[in-house]
Amino acid sequence: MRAPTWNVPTRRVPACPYCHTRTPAKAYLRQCASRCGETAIEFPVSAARKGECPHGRAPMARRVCPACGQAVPREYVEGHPKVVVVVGAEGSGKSTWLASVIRRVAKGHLDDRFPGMSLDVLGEKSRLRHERDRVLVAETVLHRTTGPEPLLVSLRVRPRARAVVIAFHDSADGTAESLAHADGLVLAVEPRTMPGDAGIARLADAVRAARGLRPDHRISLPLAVVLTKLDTVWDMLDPGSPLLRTVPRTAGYAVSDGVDVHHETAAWLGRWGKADLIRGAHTAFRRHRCFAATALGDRADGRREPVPYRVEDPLLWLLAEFGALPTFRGAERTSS
Amino acid sequence: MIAQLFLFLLLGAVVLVVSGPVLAAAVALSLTLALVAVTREALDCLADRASTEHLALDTLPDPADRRYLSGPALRDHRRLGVACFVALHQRMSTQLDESFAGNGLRRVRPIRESQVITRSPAVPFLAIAARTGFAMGYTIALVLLATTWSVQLVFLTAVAVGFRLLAGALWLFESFSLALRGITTECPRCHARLARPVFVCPCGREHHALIPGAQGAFLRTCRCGRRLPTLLIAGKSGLSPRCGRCDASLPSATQTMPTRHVPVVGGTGAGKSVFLHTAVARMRSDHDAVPADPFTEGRLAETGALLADGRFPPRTPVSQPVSHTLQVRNRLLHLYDAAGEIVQDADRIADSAFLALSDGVVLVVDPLALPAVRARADPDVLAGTRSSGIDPKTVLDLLTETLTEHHTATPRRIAVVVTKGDTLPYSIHPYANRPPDRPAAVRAWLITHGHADLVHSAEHHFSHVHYFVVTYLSTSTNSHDDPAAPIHWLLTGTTR
Repeated sequence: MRAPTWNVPTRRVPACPYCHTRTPAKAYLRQCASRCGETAIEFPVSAARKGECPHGRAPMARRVCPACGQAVPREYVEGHPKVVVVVGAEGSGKSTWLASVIRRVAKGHLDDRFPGMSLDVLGEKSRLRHERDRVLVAETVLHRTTGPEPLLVSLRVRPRARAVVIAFHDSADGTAESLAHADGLVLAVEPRTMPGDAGIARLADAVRAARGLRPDHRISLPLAVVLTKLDTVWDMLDPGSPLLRTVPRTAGYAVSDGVDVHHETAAWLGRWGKADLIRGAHTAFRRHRCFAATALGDRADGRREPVPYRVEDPLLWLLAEFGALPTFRGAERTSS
Repeated sequence: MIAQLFLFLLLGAVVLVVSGPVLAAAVALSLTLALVAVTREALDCLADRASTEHLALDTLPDPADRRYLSGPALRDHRRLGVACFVALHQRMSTQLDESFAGNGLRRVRPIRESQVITRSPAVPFLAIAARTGFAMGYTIALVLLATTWSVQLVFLTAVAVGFRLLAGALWLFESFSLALRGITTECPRCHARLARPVFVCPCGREHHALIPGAQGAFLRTCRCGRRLPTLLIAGKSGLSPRCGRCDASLPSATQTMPTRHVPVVGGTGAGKSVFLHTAVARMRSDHDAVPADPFTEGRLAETGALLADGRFPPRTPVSQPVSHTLQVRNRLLHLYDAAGEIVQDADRIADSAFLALSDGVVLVVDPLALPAVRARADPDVLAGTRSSGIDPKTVLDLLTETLTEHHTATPRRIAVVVTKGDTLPYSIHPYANRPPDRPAAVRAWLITHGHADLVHSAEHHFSHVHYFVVTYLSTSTNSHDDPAAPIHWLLTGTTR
């Protein structure tokens, strides 16, 4: 078995998740607390002496982007955040997939594979969105329009592991700014929709335009094509399909299982008239993989709460691509 | 020719014999006059009625004068030196230019008109001798004065430097001893981290920097005349300490023992106030803790009276909390009962400076706020109990994010305290099976009831996590942890 590969993250100035302005960590602004009264001011982080404001008091425990004035958590500013853009047609289930995977990881449902894995939602806006998503996912899944704010999370794969900070940007087409700073892409595709390329050509053009690439350039960003709402096509699947196979209990990303799922999903997408999607992904993206998932539940009908199935696979693959998760080829390694 | 030469030699001898005493007398006279002038000037400078403005004794902000040897002595010495040199110079110039050392003899008529004087060739020699004598006398006086002044300067500089070094060494000694013992000063009301408290003289004057320094190495004299110790070992702790920022009274034990700050956080209605009171009451009954200020004693008495009547304390005011300050063994413990609204609201918690002081955290978890527990709880209990409506993980997220934003190091310990243990049915109580490892049982209980996120997140952010189940009731069907155990664990690492 090959040893897990760990990439060293490159240092760079992270972009503000709200306005996408790259600002050095020391140039973010802190604010005087209410105790300073009318003399309260904003001052750069570098101007704080011993963590105190110019008046010698403890400042507000937050820092704001000097460009847009939004509060950006310190863990995001000083970490090495990854930007994942989730795109897909309206109603394709991208927000539901995102809410489901976040809840699944946060609630410790992957404890059997990743003991001690935890997820913290960062920032007040992300917390509000997470709370809203939690209610939606836990009780019922409703179609709704997602706001432009990103979802900031801090993910620790193992106890005491270094946190991987991820900003999920969730929109129909992906804004040019978010695509310009993206480290990974997720394309949500609904089964049995109109034949076509599911917007892969438009996405590739948008990424190339945002990053200033040539029209024929193969994009190096990892792309996860997620076939959502798998529960609606359970009956069509063969019992021996890799999509119905038990998820391997590896303490990392199982490449063999991922490849099987990729080929099976690609075959189904081709059968449903989305060969252009597969071809487009292969042509435009150097690294891409297909996944199939459902946030509503597996075949165990009658449950009160939805039991998501394989929703975490795209995230685990992206984490492996980021170098934050070990990959295993062939034989499984169960977590200890 | 030979005779003439002889006469000239004789005259020269006579001149020398006569001018020698004249020279000596002039030297003695000028020296005496110079010393008299210098002494008179020095006495004027050092007299009681002399001005002391040049000493700048009261330029420091605290209501106490500088010690004379800490620096004013040098200013006094410089002024004295300048005055003496000026007096000497004036005396010398006056006498050399206009006194009898020059044309003075010629002003006396009998002398001026005397044939002996006018015709005597020895007179100019005598005048030169006298003038030279005066010059020598004043020069000797000047050298004596300069030497004396320089020796005094060296001596006084050594004394002043020694005084400053002594004061600095004493200040360093006190600072290092405080640092070594982990003693810091924070205000329980405004939550400011203070360099030192303000000490109040019995006369009411506030001394903001009562430390060894220019105003006194061991003692300083207040404007009221009372001598105040500058060192803790000299009895400084007997004075009333106050906060220099908000003027609040500090506990009398300030700077005598290490301080520990423990915020008790949780959602609204999670049972923070009741837990805090129960824990403190248990510590007091075990003679482990005593209130460190009257304010804490009053609040504890108030809450105790309510609980004794079977009533719960009212909602904690939504304002920055004033700590319950206790003297626990050899520590000064500040317990912060923060209103749930503060730790649930991003703006309020960001404005909470008390979290920056945290040495450990008590996270209060209301079991009735957990959906899986609520589903199996007795409806009567649910109806009769005020439960928290906030997910404890949300509180933990806000807490850890706020602690990360602060400049100070994140505390290493967190006590996760499940309150209201008496409301849990026996079947779902964490200690129902009398587990040998109680913290592990509570941890597993939280995971089983859908809060693995809380457990994992707490264990990621804090080096040491301990789990407890408590109740405010003294008797209960199920066994519970000692309410004081979380506090003991945060302070000492053991539950006893």
